[in-house]
Amino acid sequence: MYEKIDEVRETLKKYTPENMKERLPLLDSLLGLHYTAKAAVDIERARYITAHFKETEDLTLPMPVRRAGAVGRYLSNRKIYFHDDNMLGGATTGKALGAPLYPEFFGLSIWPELGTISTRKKNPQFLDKKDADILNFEVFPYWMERSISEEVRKVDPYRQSLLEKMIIYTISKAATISHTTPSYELVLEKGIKGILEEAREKQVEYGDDEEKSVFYHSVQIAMQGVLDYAANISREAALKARGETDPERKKNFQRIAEICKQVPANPAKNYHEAVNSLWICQVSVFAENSNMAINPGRLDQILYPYFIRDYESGELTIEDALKISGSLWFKIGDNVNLVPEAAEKLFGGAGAVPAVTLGGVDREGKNAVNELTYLLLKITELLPLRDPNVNARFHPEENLVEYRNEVSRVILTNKAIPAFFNDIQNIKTLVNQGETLEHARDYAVIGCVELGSPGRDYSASSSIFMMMYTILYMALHNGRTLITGEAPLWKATGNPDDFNSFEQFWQAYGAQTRFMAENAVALNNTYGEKHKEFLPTPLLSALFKGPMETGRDLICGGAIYNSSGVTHIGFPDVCDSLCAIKDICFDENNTSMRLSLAEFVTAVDNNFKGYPLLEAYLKNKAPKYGTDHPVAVDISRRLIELGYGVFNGQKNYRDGNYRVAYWTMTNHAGYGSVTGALPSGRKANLPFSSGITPVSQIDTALTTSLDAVAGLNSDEIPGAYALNMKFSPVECSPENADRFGSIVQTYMDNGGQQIQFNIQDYKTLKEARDDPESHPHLLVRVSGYSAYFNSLNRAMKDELIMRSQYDLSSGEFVPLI
Amino acid sequence: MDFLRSLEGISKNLQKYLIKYRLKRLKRAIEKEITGDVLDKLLFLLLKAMSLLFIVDKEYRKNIEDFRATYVICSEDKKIDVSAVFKKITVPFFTREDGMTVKDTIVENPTTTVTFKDGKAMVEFLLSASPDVIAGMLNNQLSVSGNLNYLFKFVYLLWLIPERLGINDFKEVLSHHR
Repeated sequence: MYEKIDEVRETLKKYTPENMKERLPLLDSLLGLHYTAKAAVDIERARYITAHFKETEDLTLPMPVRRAGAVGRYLSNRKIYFHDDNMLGGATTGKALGAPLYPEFFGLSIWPELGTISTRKKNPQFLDKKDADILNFEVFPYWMERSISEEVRKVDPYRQSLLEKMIIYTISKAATISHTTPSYELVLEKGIKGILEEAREKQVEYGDDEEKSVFYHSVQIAMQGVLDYAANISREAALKARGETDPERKKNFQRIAEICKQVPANPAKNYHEAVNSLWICQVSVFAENSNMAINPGRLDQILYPYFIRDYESGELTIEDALKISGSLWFKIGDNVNLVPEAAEKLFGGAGAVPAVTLGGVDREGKNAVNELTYLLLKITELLPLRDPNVNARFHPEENLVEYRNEVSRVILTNKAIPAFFNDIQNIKTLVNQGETLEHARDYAVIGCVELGSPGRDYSASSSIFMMMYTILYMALHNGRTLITGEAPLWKATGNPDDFNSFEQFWQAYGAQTRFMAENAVALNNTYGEKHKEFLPTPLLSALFKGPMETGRDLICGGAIYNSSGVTHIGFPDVCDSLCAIKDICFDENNTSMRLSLAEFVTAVDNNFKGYPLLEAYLKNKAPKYGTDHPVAVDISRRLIELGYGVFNGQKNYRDGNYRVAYWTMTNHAGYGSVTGALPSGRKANLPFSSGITPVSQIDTALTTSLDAVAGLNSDEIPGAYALNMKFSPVECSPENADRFGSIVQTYMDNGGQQIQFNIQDYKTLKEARDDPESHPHLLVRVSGYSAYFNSLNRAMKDELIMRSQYDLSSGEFVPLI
Repeated sequence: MDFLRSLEGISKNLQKYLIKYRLKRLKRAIEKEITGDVLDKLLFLLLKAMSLLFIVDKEYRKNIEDFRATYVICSEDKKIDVSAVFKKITVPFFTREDGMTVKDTIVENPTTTVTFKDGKAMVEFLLSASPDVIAGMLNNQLSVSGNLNYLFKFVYLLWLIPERLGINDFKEVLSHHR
């Protein structure tokens, strides 16, 4: 097994970022184009979908058929673009870097900005005046009463209004059906024609069952759209080839024309066909569902049979494999989300976060690191792109140290990617969620850090965002929030004077957590029910295991597993706040700083103005998560237990579990910038700490910090977490890669679930902030995904600078001066 | 007396002339308002301008073809109470057209209600080069009840006013104000 690994690795050594221009000029030129591409809004999909819905308004068609018709119509008729010399056919939009618009979700939020989105200061997204008029006059008016949020408002206006306040909870379903990993190998093996034929037979078989019959019929309509799209790419490429005089380009167009004539209609016969087939399917999924965290999955496993067969037969050289794989990387990164200005200011800089997963073990639990794993790691090294979000699974008992060190070497080289995932812990966690061992072993990373069995788990992993700092505020203010008036939002749990012990206050915090969870779950489930009614997903369903067997759409629970994700913002800050409350207000042994809880709340609400001693104490003496202080260790573990407890057992609208997670994207910086002070000592409007990462600038050793995170019970974090660490840059030597890998492995041995890095020092990041041109393409890990530093907002840049830096050799904390 | 009613009994051309004259006065009043210190009339002036533009500016009127909605704009400190009602309106000599009327009271059952924290929050929102509903909500400067999509449209209509009034540097004045 994997007999060619040494040979392939040896060949791959010839390719470095320094010699890419000479050895892989295609990838070098595509990288240049990628860096210079400006984001632009693409309305083609929105027009087709809207036109179809308008025309079928008065027909009594079932919604799955209507929606499949709209998606199929767009795919069959959309214009074909070749933006560059990429070796693959198909593009997410008609723009080199396109932001597709989904009016049925949150697309109308850019209505006020139709005249300014092209010129806004931060991350403008170009919108043609003509297109703006089409949106204004044709597209948006139709959806004013029909967007999914308005459908929800009709049945639950109160919880919907709380959602719109954006500091209680948020529900991603207002903006997307996403965060899941299809089973693209189904297409590689059967071809779209095979799936279509299966749907046709099933429709006949279940002719008496209206619901199933409608589902299979809608699958056929959507699949026909995919076939038409590929056929149109082939036709257009052939036309381009005929008109092309440059021999290399002509050959490329001819090859694309041949490939797209074959796939994804038919099973893939070789590596190039398999890669292009997968890409066309990914683009087709975007026609139906938002371009947000739809994940290609375990590419080194899915594509391996095609790669190794071609390589061993001599039909595929390593150079060609690099070019084809690199082409896929650029294609995956050809789109961004459409983002209104406020969201851009607060959360901007994210790509579409499609996650690629490499390495780990196979379904039998054996080492799955193969020749293609190394080749795709090489691509990750050569192409430090925002998307795809590359993740390396590592099984400390099955994977070899050579692999661990190669992943480490790539991280040290490009200073950010991939992230490491602990197979032992993550497989255990998924089994604990009811996945079979075989399915759990085959997990892929979703979006930022979430886990799910590809093509089996319709995971919706970013369904709910819980604002932990708001829960804390409510517990401290008798159930009130800053923006919902004087009365408790859900229930009064006591004024600060009412609590005589930390345990009493903890009960109040727990009660508010439960109220928040119940309401967030209720609203998420309402959204889910509305999705069933208005947004069925026949195309995506056909790329999963389960729906085709049962005749049930994914959205209706057709997948094998049906989880939803609940991530939390502010865990480290809330943990430190609870530690401080316990220490200062309720620990009788604390003689250096004592305040009543009421006094403490007053100080916090005044942003510590007039409380310099308290501020200093909180900074230097109070117990902090990330240290080995017993209070911090205890409270961090209890918080995790509480979060798991309130969601475990709650069912989503597909009768699946809610999986608790701790990743924050850029939300921790954005929401931090509009939130008041916390008892932890964090002052108003400063970023929260990211994901599960201990608060920055705590003077503690690397190992202590890692142990604090690894000591959390990962079984109670089934949705996964993001731990961000920053190391001082070091020479990328085998010794340093080994040291780096050893640290990661020890952290995993202690129970750590996930870890990601920035190999940057304070100075470089400050330089990049103050002089963006000095580091134009600096790639950084945010909280679960990668971003170009320059595209981030000021708050997020400052948060990245502030993150604790550690020295790889000594493990010592390097303070920010 | 209501301005539109005062046009009764005069020729169509003269009506147009007077409406345009009225718009010019509103334009000057808006300019004066935004460069002054007290801005409490700004919203009302903008809405008045909007309602007249719908009558004489065919391009602008296209935005509200068959559009029916009622907006209430108010403030927590109760100092602002304005309603904008989009409906068919009658102007003498003009056929019944899609239009908008402004009221300095709160109408019942609005499609969307926007509540600003206070007058300052409203003015900052209106004077922004690109009024940002979501940022306003996040910063606790405004809250919305009802259909958010209607507000998105309304803000776009507001944003168009300076351009439709023909004041080239209006946005510049707005964006540099304060």
